[in-house]
Amino acid sequence: MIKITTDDFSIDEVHDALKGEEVGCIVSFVGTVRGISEGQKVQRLEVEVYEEMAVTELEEIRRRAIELFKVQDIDIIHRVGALAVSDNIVLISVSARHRKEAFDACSFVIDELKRLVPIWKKEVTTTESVWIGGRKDERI
Amino acid sequence: MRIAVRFYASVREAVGVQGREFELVKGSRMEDLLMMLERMYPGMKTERRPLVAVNGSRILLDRRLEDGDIVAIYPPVSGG
Repeated sequence: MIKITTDDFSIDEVHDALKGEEVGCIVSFVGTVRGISEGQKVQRLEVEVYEEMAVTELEEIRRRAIELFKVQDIDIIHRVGALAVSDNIVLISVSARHRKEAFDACSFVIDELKRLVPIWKKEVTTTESVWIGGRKDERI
Repeated sequence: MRIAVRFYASVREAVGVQGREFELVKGSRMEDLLMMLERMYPGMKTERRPLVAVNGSRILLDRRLEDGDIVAIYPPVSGG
């Protein structure tokens, strides 16, 4: 399952849906909004997406991960919009027979998501707004 | 031919619009469109060129554009 949403997600619900007779473990990665960034107090995080392309890219990453690591299933949920400190941003949950392939697949998916998927995060601190991953001249 | 261009994140803020349509000469390449946009929107011209996609797929700059294409121009991604 791939989902891009403004709503929060329930990790328990995702885990319950992934369980099955051949599943021996579920490995999840949850990204959250940090409260301090480079010494600045963060007020909120704004997440922007090019949704049609992001869904296509996520589906392809999920397909490659299942094929490469022979895991049972992968769910990916990414939130967009304005998020508060400690809010969930992203959930990647991998179900597998054994833990090693689940850890490897989970790591692969988050690395590829950060490399390829057209999603951008802007940290709004008490003094400035900064696109994460941008250069100094992208500070606004 | 008519091309729709959408800007995202820091590129959108640099050019000041979400997107617009352009009339291009038939046979124009992505590189031609990018150079035209950099002249129109000087804020877009930085040391690292933005990334581009056409109809939701990443492409090379020598790709020829076609009538009705939707071009996305965006900075390096940072999701997760």
